[in-house]
Amino acid sequence: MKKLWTQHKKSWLGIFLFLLILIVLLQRAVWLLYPSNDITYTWKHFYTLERGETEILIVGNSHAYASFNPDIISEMTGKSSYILASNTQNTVQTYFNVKEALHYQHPDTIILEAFALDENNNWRYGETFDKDWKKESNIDGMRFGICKLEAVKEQYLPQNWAYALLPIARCHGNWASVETILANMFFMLEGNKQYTPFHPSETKMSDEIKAQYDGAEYNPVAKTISETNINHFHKLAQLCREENITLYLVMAPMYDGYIRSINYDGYTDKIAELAQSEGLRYLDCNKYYDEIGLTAQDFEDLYTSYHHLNKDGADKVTRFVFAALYDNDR
Amino acid sequence: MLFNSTGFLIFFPIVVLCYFLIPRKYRYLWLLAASYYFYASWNPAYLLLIFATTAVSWAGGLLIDRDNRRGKVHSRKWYLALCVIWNLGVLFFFKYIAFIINAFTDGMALFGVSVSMPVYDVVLPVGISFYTFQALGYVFDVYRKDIPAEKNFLRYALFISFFPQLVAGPIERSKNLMHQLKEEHCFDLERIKSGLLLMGWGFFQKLVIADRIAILVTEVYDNYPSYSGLQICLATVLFAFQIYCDFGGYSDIAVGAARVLGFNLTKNFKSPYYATSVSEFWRSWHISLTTWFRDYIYIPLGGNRCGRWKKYRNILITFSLSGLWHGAGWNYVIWGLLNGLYQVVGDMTKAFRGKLKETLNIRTDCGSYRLLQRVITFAFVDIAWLFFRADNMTAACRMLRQSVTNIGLLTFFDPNNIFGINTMALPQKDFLVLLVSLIVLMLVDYWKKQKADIRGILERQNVWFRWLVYYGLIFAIVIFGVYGPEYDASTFIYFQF
Repeated sequence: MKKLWTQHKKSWLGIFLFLLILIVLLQRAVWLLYPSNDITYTWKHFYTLERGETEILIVGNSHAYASFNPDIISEMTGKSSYILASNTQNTVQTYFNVKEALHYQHPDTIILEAFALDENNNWRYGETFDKDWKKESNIDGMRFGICKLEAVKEQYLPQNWAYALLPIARCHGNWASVETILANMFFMLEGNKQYTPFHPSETKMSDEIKAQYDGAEYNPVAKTISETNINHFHKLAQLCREENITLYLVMAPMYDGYIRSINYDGYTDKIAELAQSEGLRYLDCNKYYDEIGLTAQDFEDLYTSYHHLNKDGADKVTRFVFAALYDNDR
Repeated sequence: MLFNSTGFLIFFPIVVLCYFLIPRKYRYLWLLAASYYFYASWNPAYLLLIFATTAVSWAGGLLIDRDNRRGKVHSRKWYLALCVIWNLGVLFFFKYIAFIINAFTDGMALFGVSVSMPVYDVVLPVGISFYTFQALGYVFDVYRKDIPAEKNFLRYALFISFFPQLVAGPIERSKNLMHQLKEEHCFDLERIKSGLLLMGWGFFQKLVIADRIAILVTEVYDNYPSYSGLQICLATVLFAFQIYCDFGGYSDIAVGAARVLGFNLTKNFKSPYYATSVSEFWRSWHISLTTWFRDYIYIPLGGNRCGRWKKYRNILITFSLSGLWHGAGWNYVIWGLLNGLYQVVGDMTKAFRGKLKETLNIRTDCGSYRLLQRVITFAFVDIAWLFFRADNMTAACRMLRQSVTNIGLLTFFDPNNIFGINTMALPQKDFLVLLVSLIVLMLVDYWKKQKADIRGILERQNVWFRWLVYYGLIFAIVIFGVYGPEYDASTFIYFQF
């Protein structure tokens, strides 16, 4: 080995440099060709934050990014917050996202939106197939490192590890998509500065969506929480303890019609038990409609779907949650 | 494990790294283990078959060699016959039994006799035609006393299973490869770079050209009634390049991979589409198979030294067998026969054509004449490719008929949809990439034909230019290659043979 090194020292250095440039160029190619979405934008934006800038980190799925307004959080607490949440993000991905985020930021508080524990969000072992763009985007958004490798190992079947780690294999076909390339270039140059991970819809709930749960039959079967989600919830709690971070569990409000159609009590009780097992505070907003100000009339004005709030709804919920958590702490 | 799979991208560097790290006397054992693993990645059960073929031909070679030395002519013939029966028997069972049964029942049906035959649904082991021919070639060489038998079973096993050329050739001759397996191969960075560059060129041909053409060709050949004659012609012309880039690409990856490890494999292609006659085409296409048939079939039949008509007979037999080697179907036989016929007719009309050129005062020493020869040769070869690619004889004949009866001139040259490309499954932008890639391919082949040392020319350039070429090649493959989850991992066409 030593002989090989000394004989070809210059060549080895050349090879190393060649590979280094190749990796950088490949990375740039992915930047240009990747069909970007809010998840990858959120990651790109997250990595531009100054170290230690984030004091409150909000994680979870779409309920999280549609329910908490960082401006109001800042106004109420004087702290800067960041929403590292993505569509149908489960607790497994949440755990790895937090782990990755802690390499760059050290928040004093993490809020986990509790719907990330929902059984439907179990990617690898559930019914959702292994190749899911939301899961991919989360992993593709992460920088390469141990955490990313762990996330892939945990969330993909071994035969798909290469698929997960080589986004170029998935996005190279976009060389002909001028829109994708231009959108990525724009985000690189300008969009990143204007981006916010808080993106509730500005529209109100349409009559068609509202009608979905109007008069829906009651389903008594309680929702379950998968073992993998439970395990990673415990891991997340453990991680927060080790890092001396306060972890809160908050369930954002959902549309009253929907709540009444499912065995919600059974579901929220399970989450409360989980929170209690880790000694965490659990705040279920669905039990405080009046306190939040979600009157019957408001449901049509503050939601965009039976799960998601619009901007006005998010403002109200943010005020309530942070008043409840921080006032209570004080 | 396909060469164009992520599995191979992991497998190959590990094999190379360990190969150069372990002591030299054990390196062939490492390569043997790697080759068996490579083959088992398709189906571990296939290992039994390749092992049996190896054992039979190795033992046969030893016995023939022993009798060669003792002068026992009679018994060595028996050993040879046994080896041939075994190898061809295995090939026959896995590849041809269903074809023979179908041909028999169809033939009987012509006479109104209905025959009920057992149904064999045998999966063709990958590369069986290649390694059985390699084993047969070895036994023939020992029989002819061209080489001594290999005494080391494991080394012989590596000769049969050497992974770069195991599943789709080149079909190596014992005279070329066997002695290399005994030699020591030092770590040579320049040779490794040269091998990697060749592999890169192979991947370019396969992923950028062949697999892109495959999208169009598959669409047209699967739905030929919906396409005009000119569109079928376009697909057939493109198929000529698809099969060349598919097989030529595989061969370049194989030769490049072997070169990285220090081995020189036979060059399988020499700019075949620049050939000026069909016989020249066959001297530059799938050279390892052509020379195999020449040495072990054509020449033993008498070759071209047994009178004119027997020579023609030998050509037709050899090419029919070559067709049958490619696949168990009448379309393959017709394809082989057509290529044989071209050469027979070419030979028969040679004097007449010579006189005609003299009479018409046609100059034969200029580029335009050679260009015409090349175009005509390509056209003949391409018509034969139609039979090769078509699903069966009926489809091939219907496509030929459609090419004549439904030309579709106006739709083919419609300025809003040139070639009717929008209907042929390949987006226009991909078609443009394909055209540019084909120009690059033909340029490189032209330089090769002119015996230009492309690698040497590149080596003499400044580092920034060389790196630009390397990055250009890598990014052409990575960006424009047809691979990834949105496409089915495309296997190499010759794997099925």
